[in-house]
Amino acid sequence: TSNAHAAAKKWRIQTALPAASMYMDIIKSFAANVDAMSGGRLKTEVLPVGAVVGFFDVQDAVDKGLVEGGFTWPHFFSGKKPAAYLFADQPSVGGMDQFTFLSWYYEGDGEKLYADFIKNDLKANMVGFINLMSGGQPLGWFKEPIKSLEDFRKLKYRSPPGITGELFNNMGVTTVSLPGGELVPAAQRGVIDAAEWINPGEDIRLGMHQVWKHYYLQGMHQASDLGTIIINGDFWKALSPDLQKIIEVAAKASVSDSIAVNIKRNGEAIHELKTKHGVTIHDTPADLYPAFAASSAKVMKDYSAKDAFFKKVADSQKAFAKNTVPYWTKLLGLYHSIGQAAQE
Amino acid sequence: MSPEILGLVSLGALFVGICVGFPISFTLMFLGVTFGYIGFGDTVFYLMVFQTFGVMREPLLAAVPLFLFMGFILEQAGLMDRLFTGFRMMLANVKGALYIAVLVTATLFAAATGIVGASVTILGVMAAPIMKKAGYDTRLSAGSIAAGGTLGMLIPPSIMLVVMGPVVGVPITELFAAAVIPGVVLATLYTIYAVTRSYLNPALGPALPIEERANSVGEIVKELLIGIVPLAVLIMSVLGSILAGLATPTDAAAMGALGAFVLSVAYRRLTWEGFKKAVFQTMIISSMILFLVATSNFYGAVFARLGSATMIAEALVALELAPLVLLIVVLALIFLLGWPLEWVPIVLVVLPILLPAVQSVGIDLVWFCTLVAVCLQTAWLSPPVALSAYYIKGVVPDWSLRDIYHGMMQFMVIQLIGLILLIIFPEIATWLPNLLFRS
Amino acid sequence: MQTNYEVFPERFRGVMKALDQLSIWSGKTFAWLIVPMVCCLVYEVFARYLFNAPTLWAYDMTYMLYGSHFMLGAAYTLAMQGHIRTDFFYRLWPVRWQGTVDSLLYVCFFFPALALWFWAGFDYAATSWERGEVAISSPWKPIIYPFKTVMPVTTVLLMLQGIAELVKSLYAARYGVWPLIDDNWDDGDQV
Ligand code: NA
Ligand code: NA
Repeated sequence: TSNAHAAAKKWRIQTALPAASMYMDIIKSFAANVDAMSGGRLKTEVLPVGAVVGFFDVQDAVDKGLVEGGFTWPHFFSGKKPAAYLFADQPSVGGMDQFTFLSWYYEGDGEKLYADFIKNDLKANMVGFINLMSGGQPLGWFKEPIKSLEDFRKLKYRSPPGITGELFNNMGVTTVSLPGGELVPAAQRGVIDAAEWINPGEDIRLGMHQVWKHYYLQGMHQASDLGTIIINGDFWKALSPDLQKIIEVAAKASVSDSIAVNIKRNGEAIHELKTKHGVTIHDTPADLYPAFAASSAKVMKDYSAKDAFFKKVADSQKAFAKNTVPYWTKLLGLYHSIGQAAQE
Repeated sequence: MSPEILGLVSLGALFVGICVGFPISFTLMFLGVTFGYIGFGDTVFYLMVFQTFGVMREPLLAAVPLFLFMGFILEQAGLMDRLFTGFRMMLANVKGALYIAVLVTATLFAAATGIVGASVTILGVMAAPIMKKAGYDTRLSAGSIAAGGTLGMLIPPSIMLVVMGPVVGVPITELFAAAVIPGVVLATLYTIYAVTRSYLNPALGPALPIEERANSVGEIVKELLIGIVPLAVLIMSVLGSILAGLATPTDAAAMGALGAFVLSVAYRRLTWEGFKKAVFQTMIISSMILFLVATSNFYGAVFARLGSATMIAEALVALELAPLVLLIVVLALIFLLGWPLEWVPIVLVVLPILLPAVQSVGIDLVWFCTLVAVCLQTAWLSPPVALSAYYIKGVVPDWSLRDIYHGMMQFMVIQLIGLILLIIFPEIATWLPNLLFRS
Repeated sequence: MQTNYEVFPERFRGVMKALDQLSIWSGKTFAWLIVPMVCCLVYEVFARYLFNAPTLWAYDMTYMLYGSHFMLGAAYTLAMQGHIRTDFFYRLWPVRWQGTVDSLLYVCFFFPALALWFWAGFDYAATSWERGEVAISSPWKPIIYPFKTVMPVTTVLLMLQGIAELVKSLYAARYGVWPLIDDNWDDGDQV
């Protein structure tokens, strides 16, 4: 093995994650899988956000070879080309959820379109594989319960930036964009009245429950939220085909890690929030759904009119949703009924 | 040569480069490019671009030009002279009155701005002639002007703390809160020292002659209400809104600049020429600092990438010093470097290298930053390389440099006492931030 | 600090003045960005607390104004001798040495590093222009390529002023006097 060690190719994955994030564990296990499967030919180092660049620059840094690999969410580079958004947070195109989305990615045209997007629309020197699910993200934290869209519109709400923020603006909601670390202090000084961050497992780390006690789990804006491993093109081409395959399959395996982590850690966090911190979980007011659907339809239409590649991806997703969503939502209804019956 | 060693060589080259006297930001830029290119190839050029853009996009640092602007407007409008005149009038029949007036004005000025040079210069211009006329001791006068002037970099809003926060990863608001009491303690120690010496030997600081005193109590009250209170309210509301968590430092700085402008206009003291000067001075100083922040960030990224920072930190950790010993070693190093170097390269280049070692022994970072700030402030009073001395010499040419140095050294000793107090009683720094932010 | 143009041969005076003036003019122009910076933030504070309606644009405007302000002032600061030096030893040297060392460092340090910075910064900005990139730090999503262009523009301004500084250093090296006049208020080292 000393030969193998001497030949070990080192590469670094700069993530868009703080060191303490629960998704960091998934990327670390991705790295360990790659190293083990390569028999020591690859040595992967995982870096937290800011180690080389900040989270908006991860894609640039990989493109320019500053780091060999990166983990980020495609919507972080949607400022460069809006279609990136559709590979992460597609705003309920045809009603797809995260699992239908995954089906589109592997069984539909997703994978092919993502490669096409990176090469011909973004024109970046990199390859990318979807490797993690972090939806459906909650609508978030509120000081007082809201009963309707009208109540929601009276508040200053921290939403994700970019197109996701636009979706809320279209619904008449006043949004503020703030980084995670500033949410609690901003709430304390009245800059915001309500906020979403990521999901229960991550939100509990920020101490959101110290300032807010009403939590709405059903958010629509990031009902699906897919993360991606990206790899510098020159580094990728220099890898042998088996190493390339190892990385690709490890990324795919990462998706199932994320399913397991999401259900367990978010579920436990909710339990803790309810029992230890006196947080109340509410259902999202019903009139938010049609308003959101209308808003996202408008955004989809606007961007499709402006950007040909955006339209191509959106059309593919819509066509895919047509047959799959009716089937899958029936199944989700089944799980819902079984769960409710068993818990009662 | 291993990358780590290459990084150390670059550090040596940096030290030589800085001592040669070429502008520091260009030296950092060149060394980063050269050693980065040798170490990891042409991606170093993009590293420079990303690091710079990161600084350009950091809204926290927007507080730097805004606080400078606020300070320069107050300076151009001559509102600080008025403050000094007011205190002088009020205190005239006390022994050592002018020392107290200088130090109280300096403390308020420090709370209004983050600039050291400006307050030393203004105090020198305003106070020195009167101190000479009243027969005050040259050394003690120069020392109190220099020491009072350096409070600006410690008492918030301090530009140094704004820059230090993101480097260390501590909220600026907590650093501000931590620096308030140490600043006041030092100002108090200075005052006690000067006044005690004046009482023991009235020749050092006699009470003022009759013609310098106020004619009536009414005159004093009027000066207090018109000359001092509005400015003090502005200063306190800017600071207060930050410490109470009502505003970010950037928001408060902008509101403070507006407040300074409104106040100066209300006093009819701000001329168009003065306003233009404030705008241009703000540009030069903030460009100097922030361009240096950008190039230091870049050099620091190269240095970290070469692995040398980790190596130095590991070497320090491997010594297995007790936390207190490690702390004293680190502070002594910063104090020594503060002699030839400015605070900017120390905070931006040296601090990140030493930081991991400090973190590894679990030293409270807010306390640590306050200690570093007091250390660097002391370096301003440590001859022969002490900029404050040159500023005073510049505006009071007939004070000998020897007397100025002598006076500054006295206050440097007080600084060291303050520093030791702060080491023994960390609560001086941590009490207020704990109360405000961690309860 | 101001340049004493009288000392230069007449045919150089125009060029030297032009180089200095470009930096001074651009610096004094961009210095006014501080005013909209204050206005944006003040407006945002009032909008947020008094009208309960924060703006979409204040966040992006603030960092764009601030980032452009200090970068585009770098050449002006250089012309005003405002970039901080450690003059511990430097001030003790004869002016001829100061001039010689500065000339060498301008040629060997300053221009090569800035040229490379310009090249990478230009590429960075050009890619952003090609893509029509917008900032996604807020829902306002303003175009960001003009802001990214600030970096290559800064390097060009710095190199132009660097030529003037090199000539001044060469003069100091040759004649033992700095071709500068101290005009007393705007020298930079007063932090
Ligand atoms: Na989110
Ligand atoms: Na201050």
